[in-house]
Amino acid sequence: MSLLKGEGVCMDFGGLKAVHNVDFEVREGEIVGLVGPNGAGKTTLFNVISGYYAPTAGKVRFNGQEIQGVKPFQICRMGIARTFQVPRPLLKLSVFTNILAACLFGRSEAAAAVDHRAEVERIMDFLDLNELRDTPAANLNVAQRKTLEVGRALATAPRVILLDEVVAGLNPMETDRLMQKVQQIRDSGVTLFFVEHVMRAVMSISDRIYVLNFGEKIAEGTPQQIAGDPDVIEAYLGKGVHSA
Amino acid sequence: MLQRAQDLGTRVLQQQKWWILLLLVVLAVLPLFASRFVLHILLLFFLYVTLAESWNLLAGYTGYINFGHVTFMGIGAYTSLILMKDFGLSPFYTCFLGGLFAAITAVVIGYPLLRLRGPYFAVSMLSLSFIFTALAFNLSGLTEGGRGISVRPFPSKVPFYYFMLVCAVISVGAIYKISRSKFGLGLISIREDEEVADSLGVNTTLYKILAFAGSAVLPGIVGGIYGYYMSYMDPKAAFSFSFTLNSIVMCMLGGSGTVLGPIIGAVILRSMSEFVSYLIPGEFYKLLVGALFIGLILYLPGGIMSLFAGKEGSDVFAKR
Repeated sequence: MSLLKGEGVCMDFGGLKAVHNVDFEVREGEIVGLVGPNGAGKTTLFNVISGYYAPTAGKVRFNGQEIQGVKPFQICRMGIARTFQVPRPLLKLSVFTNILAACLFGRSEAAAAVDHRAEVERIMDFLDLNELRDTPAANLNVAQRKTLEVGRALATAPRVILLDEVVAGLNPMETDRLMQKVQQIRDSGVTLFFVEHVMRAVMSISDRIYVLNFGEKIAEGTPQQIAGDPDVIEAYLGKGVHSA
Repeated sequence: MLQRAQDLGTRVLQQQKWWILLLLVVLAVLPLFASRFVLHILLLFFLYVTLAESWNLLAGYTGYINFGHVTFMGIGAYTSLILMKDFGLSPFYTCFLGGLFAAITAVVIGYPLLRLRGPYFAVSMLSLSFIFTALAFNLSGLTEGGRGISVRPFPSKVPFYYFMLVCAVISVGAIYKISRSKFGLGLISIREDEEVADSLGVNTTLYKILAFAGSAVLPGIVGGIYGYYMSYMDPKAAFSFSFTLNSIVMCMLGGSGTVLGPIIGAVILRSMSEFVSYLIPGEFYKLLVGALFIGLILYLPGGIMSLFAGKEGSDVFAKR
């Protein structure tokens, strides 16, 4: 069943077509990758889905319902969580309180009737954040901040999480650890739509991949199909001199 | 060992509770003994605590620096004095109407203005206080313009004292409660990063307007009481920038975004003002306030309370 669906999504900034006529579909329980060179419009597309921008044209559907133009806090409560490419923790607050805020505010009414503090402890336990419980988020390193982003997203009891470059800038060990958590999150029934530059991560865990270039979708398919797609190779590496 | 430390913590807290109660009892029976001068000093102190704490709600917790805080006080003062002059109603009752008008004003202007951030919001609020000064000058049918409104003074200082005391206690109590509530956490999230707060499900527009209206109510009430106490109000006195400046400096000196900070700041600034004005009469005291403000921003932006915050910070929500 299609959980998240875009139909002809366009996002113009003045004359710049940051996202142009993009269709996409994320089905319940999938891990879908979104890749493309810098400036391809990946984060812009996420900003449209999560309500930061109202698309210039096109529709975004969540669970069949149109959500373009809905405010970010409402989108979050509907069940679409997001993480930020450059982590943005609430700096003066502890790890615990960062997650608590997401848990208190980000849930739908149906999911809100829980012991919030226990829920936060459970999430910190899952992400191995226990030892950092009382640490102000300002004192965290990049890997910890990225993990906290995931923790906050989880705390909103989402049906789908938009992960924006969640392992970029991490070392291979940290990447593997976080990717493992991401897979566990999917196994727990949460759908994932993620932007990533680290190809090892994208290729290993995605069910399907969309490729954007200059705001347009140039390919979609399984990791194998994408890896062999001539348009994708051209977008990343340029035209080969001998190919003709 | 840990157990003992926790016992100590609980004990200190309970002792503090008794100290606070004792202080309140002393303040409550004080008018039986104290001179008119002491009552005057204290009721001004309570007025400033109320102003600084309410400024704290919007600036210290929500992150919106307000350079026009006096607007709400001026609205309250004019509401009460006009109702007294034209209808003979006592400001001890109508001051609440002033609080209501101040809050309504906050909601109406907050909707457009709270989209602005940082210095833009600060300056637009400063302009708003100038606009209200101009209104008070020009709506002379209502406000008597530049001549100001005079009302018959109330013979005793005591009811003013109690009114201001109650307002100060309510403002401190409200900030204490809010700073530990879900509402307070929403405001703090907005202060830390408004877009992130939005993405985490905080209805930022609503929360900001509630905080703004909340920060307007008590200044509106004490404005009416203060106007009656002075038994005279003119546009310059009612919307004087010095009330705004004092609120800001008191709050930042003690530590904005803390419950005790504004009280500490008010104690220091008020004592300083009385002491310096006694030694060097005139406006010299204002020079000191200005210098203190600059020094604060340069060397102690977190205020006095930041000296006591441990390395764990002052996050009350993480307490087990």
